Amino acid sequence: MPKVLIIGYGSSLRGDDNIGCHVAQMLEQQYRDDPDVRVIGAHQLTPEMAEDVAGSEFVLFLDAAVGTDAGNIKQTTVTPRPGPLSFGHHMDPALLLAAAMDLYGSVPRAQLLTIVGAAFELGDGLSPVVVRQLPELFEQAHAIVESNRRSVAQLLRH
Amino acid sequence: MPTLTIDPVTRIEGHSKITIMMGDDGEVQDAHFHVTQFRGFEKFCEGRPFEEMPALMARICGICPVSHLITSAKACDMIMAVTIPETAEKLRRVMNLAQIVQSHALSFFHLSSPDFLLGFDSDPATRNIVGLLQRDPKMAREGIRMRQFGQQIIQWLGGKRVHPGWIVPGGVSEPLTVERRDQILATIPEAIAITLRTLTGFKGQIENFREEIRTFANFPTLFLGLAKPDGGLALYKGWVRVIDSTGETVADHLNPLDYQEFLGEAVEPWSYLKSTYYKPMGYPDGIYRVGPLARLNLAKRCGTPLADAELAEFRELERHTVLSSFYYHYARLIEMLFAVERIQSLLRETDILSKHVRAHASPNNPEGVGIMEAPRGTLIHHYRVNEDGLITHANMIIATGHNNLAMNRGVLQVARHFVRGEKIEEGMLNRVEAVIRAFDPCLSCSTHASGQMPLHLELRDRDGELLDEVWRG
Repeated sequence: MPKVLIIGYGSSLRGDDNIGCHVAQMLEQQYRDDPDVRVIGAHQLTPEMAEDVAGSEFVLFLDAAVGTDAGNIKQTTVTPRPGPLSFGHHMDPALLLAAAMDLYGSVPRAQLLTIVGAAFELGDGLSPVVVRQLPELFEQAHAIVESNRRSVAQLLRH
Repeated sequence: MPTLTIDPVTRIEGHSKITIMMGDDGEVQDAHFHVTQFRGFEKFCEGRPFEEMPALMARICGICPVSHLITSAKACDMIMAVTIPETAEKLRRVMNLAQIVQSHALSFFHLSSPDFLLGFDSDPATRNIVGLLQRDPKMAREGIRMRQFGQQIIQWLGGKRVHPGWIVPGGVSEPLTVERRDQILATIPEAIAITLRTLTGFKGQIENFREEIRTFANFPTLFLGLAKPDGGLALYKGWVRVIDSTGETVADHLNPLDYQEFLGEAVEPWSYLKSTYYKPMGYPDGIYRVGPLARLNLAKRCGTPLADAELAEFRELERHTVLSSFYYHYARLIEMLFAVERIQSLLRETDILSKHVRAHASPNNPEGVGIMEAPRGTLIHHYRVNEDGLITHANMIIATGHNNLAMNRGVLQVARHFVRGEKIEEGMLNRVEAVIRAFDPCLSCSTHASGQMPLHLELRDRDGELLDEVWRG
């Protein structure tokens, strides 16, 4: 099982909402020959991903965010947190980690990297603000993966 | 008039909320299930080559992309004026059945079973999949297994779990291999065993929910869905049949191509989700329901042995048709069982490995209508094209829209029974949510929005002053 899991998620028809999948695809290219890194692009987080999450040492979630400061990139540590369900079909990273822990008895370290989108209207392109920030977002995501890959390797050596 | 508002705040603004209007006597007067996300998807499609539509439509939703994919491909088949190869139709059916399993599994195991196992009055912080895991880890794992069963088949057939592109206008792009067929067949016994266990468990609990059964959108309506000559459960193709609440046929052999003659779409100022109704009875008297409950009410039999035995028991619930929307959950389990059995029988047919799986043609018709049964109900895609095959008009009637009138009336019925006074009580909120959950509405599909749906509930007096407020999520 790959040690590092990258999950980019969002609707590919809602403009900047697709940024998570977009960066996930870029990372997939980067790591396509690396057996220790697995990349998933998804419309939304769903319960069965708990198995993939539980089998990883580190998970990077990539998502869009809503806010007034379009283009702002934010990195957050994710910890397991049970939460209520509504009548929607969505899960969030913290709930997915909680499911992984309770289902499979294992929870990886996890980070959520988000960028505030500027346009979520129907369309399959990214807004200019987000496009300008794309290299920076990719670099940050790449650095997070590299850093955690090294720490996973160190842990395994010890 | 005091107003009680349950208002989801979404990552993308809009989406939906529930408003309950209280009278001066403290009794509920009216209720609305609002969907406020703008629905402009049809305009977005104009100008696209028709061949692109299935792949584009599959991106509407992460839960039921296969329904949109197949329905769109069927509309395109008609534009091309082709009859697709029999094997291609069977393979499309397999993928659709796999999607019904994974979608129903999400609805039953992950969204609704916490209500059944933990109770409608339990703490919402634990009434979720994690609470379910703690209370009944075996059931939670089996729910995951059923999701994986459906998702895995979709991935094996289509190459991707979420937005597979294998289904194309004219059929499917690749034939099935022996290895893939055998891989799928090997997963069938476990899926059947899990579904039967879950059905047994659910039936054993029904007596605990008499009040919910009585009040969860339990009223006479029409039921609408696809039908076929042998009376079997029709999911992929057929004509449209409408029955009333006593099971009498109101209309039969309706041609899906004429859907605009028998289905009306009403627009209410408080929702972007259109309310469809059966036109000959007018609006809102033409209220009807679609989806698993409607399909089982419409069908004489499922067509597979285990599901038929369960359907016979289901029929014993009420004298004629089953009216309580609480039983959507029960119907989903029977459909899951049918879907698994039917996948097995389709894969055992001798021509399932045939290499002839696609018909090719240019546009030959100026328009096409695709119709089939999605997990939540009848799904219709209607396209018109110009001489170059570019889309000039698109219309989609989504299952959640068919049920919109019934969901609104269901919220009102539950609110009248459970909402009391000026305080928001957890059990009341849970049940208002749960009646909507019974229909399993897909707001991604119906409004093409996305995002989380935490809830905001407000209780206001006649002057608009806030009396009580609850945030959830």
